Amino acid sequence: MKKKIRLEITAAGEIRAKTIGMNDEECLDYVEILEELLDAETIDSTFTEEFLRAQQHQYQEEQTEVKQQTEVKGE
Amino acid sequence: MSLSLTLIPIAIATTSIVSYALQGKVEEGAYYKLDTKIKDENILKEALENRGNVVSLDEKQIESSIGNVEIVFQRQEDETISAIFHEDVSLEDAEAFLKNTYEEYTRIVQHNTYEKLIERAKNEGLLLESETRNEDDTLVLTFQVKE
Repeated sequence: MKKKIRLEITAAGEIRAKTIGMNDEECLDYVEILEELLDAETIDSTFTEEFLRAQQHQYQEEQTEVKQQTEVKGE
Repeated sequence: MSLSLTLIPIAIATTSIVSYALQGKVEEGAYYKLDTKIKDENILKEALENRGNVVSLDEKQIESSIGNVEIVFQRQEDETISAIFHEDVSLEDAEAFLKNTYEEYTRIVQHNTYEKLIERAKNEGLLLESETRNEDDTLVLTFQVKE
């Protein structure tokens, strides 16, 4: 999936932003970039389910790797 | 999608829930003050002029008049700008005036935000892919991130 950013600028001045296709912490870099681009400050931020699933998957892979290494050392 | 953000332009205060509120009486009750979320005096001046006000801006305050009604805007300690009305102006009229002024103010903020974004995005590797305006006047822009 291509990496994208979708922005909504409302008539009340509020800006809503969503990063698309960024499943690692790269998306966090865009908090500061968007604040500078828009001369705005972030008042709310949430990770989407896609991001959390990717984080959980990465954690599980790391745990499996640690377990395998422990087993190798124990032999 | 991986991260959702809500941002407020620095021209708008984030501290107050309402866009304007009765703050209190000033100068022995002859005038009263209404607080706003407005922070940028130049945008405020433009908004007032767009709505037919005659406006003068100096270092301390903005003086605005429409018909025979004069309104003074002063910056507060929290960086927001409050409006001061003479007691002859009803609270209802003052609130309606501020509501209309604030709507014009945020319309200008929206336009300025869009202009800045279009001007600066390329430097951050963001390429505009699509742009639409919804029925509620929300601008929706999608950028591709250059890798």
